[in-house]
Amino acid sequence: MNTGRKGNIIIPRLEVLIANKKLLKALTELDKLLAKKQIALNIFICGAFAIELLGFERVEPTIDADSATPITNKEVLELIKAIGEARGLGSRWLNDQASTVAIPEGAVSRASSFGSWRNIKAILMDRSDLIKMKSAAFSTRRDETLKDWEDLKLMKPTAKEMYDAIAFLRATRSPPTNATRRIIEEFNETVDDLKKLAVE
Amino acid sequence: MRQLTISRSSPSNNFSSLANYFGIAISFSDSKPVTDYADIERFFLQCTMNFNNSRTAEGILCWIDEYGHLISPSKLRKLIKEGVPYDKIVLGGILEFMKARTVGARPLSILKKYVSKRAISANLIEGPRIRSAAPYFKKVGLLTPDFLLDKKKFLRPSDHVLRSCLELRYRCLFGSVLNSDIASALSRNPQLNAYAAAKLTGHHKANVFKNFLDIKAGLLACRVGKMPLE
Repeated sequence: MNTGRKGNIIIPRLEVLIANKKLLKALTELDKLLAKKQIALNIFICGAFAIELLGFERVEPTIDADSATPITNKEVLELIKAIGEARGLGSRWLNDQASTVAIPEGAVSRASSFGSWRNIKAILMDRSDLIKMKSAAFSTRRDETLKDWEDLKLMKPTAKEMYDAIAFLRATRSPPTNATRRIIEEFNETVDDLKKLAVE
Repeated sequence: MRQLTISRSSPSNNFSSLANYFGIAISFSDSKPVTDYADIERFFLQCTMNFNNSRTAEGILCWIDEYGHLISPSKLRKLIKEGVPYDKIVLGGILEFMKARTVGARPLSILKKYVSKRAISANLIEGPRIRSAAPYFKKVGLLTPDFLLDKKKFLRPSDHVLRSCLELRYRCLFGSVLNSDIASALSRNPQLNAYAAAKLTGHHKANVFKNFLDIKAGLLACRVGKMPLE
C-alpha cells in the first residue's frame, strides 16, 4: 500500500490520482456547478474507488464512485447526469447505490477527509470498514462477481480485521433461523472462504 | 485455476489501452491514449488472454455483447491461421456466450475448429469455489460467476465510443469490414500504400488492392468537401 497520511487526511499517490483523473475532474466540475447554485453535497466514498484512493495498486475499478450516503437532491442528480453524459462517463459515475446497505457502526467517525472542494465535502471510508463492507458484499453477490473477493485479497486483511469483518457479516447477513440447510451451508462456506484471506 | 498468458505489452496498443479505447470503462493503471490504427479482431483475440480478474472479464463480455455483431469471423480465422496468439478454450467459451446471447449477424461456426475445451472443469479466474457457474463457459470446462453484464457500469456510453473510436464507427457505417478497416487505417495515416494497409489491417492483399483506390478517393472527397465522416 502506498499512501500518505497527514492527520486524518488521506493523500493518495500521484499515480493513483492520475489513473482517476477522469473521476476527479468530474467531481471538480460538479463542485464548481454546486458552488454556483450554492448547494452543499456530502459524499462518503466507499467501494473500489475508495480502495484505490487508499493507495492499492491494480484494483482496476470501473470508472465510477460509490457514496455510502444518499444523494437525493434532484438538482444534484441532474448535474451528475449532465456531467457524466458530457464527459462520456455515463449517468452513474457518482452514485449512491451503497447507501442502501448497512454500514459498520462508527464508520463515519473513522473516515478521513478527502479532496479540497468548496461545496463537496468528501470523506473516505476507513480500511477496516471497507474490509467489512467488501466481506458483506462478497457474501451477497459471489455468484455474480468475484470482484469483492479480489479487492479483499488485494487489501491483505489481518486476522483481526477479518475477524471483525466476519462479525459484521454475521450481524448483518446471517441466514434466518428457518433458512434451508443449503443456504446455511453456503453462508458457512463464505465465512470459511473469508477466513482464508486473512494474512498473519 | 488455469494460467493464462497475460498479454500486456507496454505502449498504446496493449490490452488495457485498447480496452479503454474500444469502450470498456475500467480504470487500468497501464492504459495509454490510442493514436494508431486499432484492429478490432486483434483486440478480440487479445481479450481471450485477458480474463485475469472479475471486473475485466465482465467488461470484456459486456463489450462483446454490445459490439460483437461488428466482428468478422472470417478475419478472425485468417488472423488465427497467421499465428496471432489467443486462448483456444476461452475463445470456445466466448463463442458459446455469443450463441447464447444471439450476438453476431455473421456465422461464428467457421471458428469451431479453432477452439478447445477442458476435460476437467477449473476456475477461469482465481478465486473461491464457483457455486453457480456461467453456462456458456461451463460448456468448455471453465468456471466463472454468472456475471450480471451491467453494461451501464462496464461500458462507456456508445455515442461517446463511436465519436472517439474511428474503427467501430466505420464498422457501423459501412457494411464491408474490409472497407471500414482500410478507411480507418487511411484516416490515421493517409500516406499508407495498399500493401502496408493490407498488412496493418490483416486483410488479403488482393482484396485490399481491389478496393484501395476507391476508399482513398472517397475519404479524400470527404476531407475536401468537409463532410463529417471523420
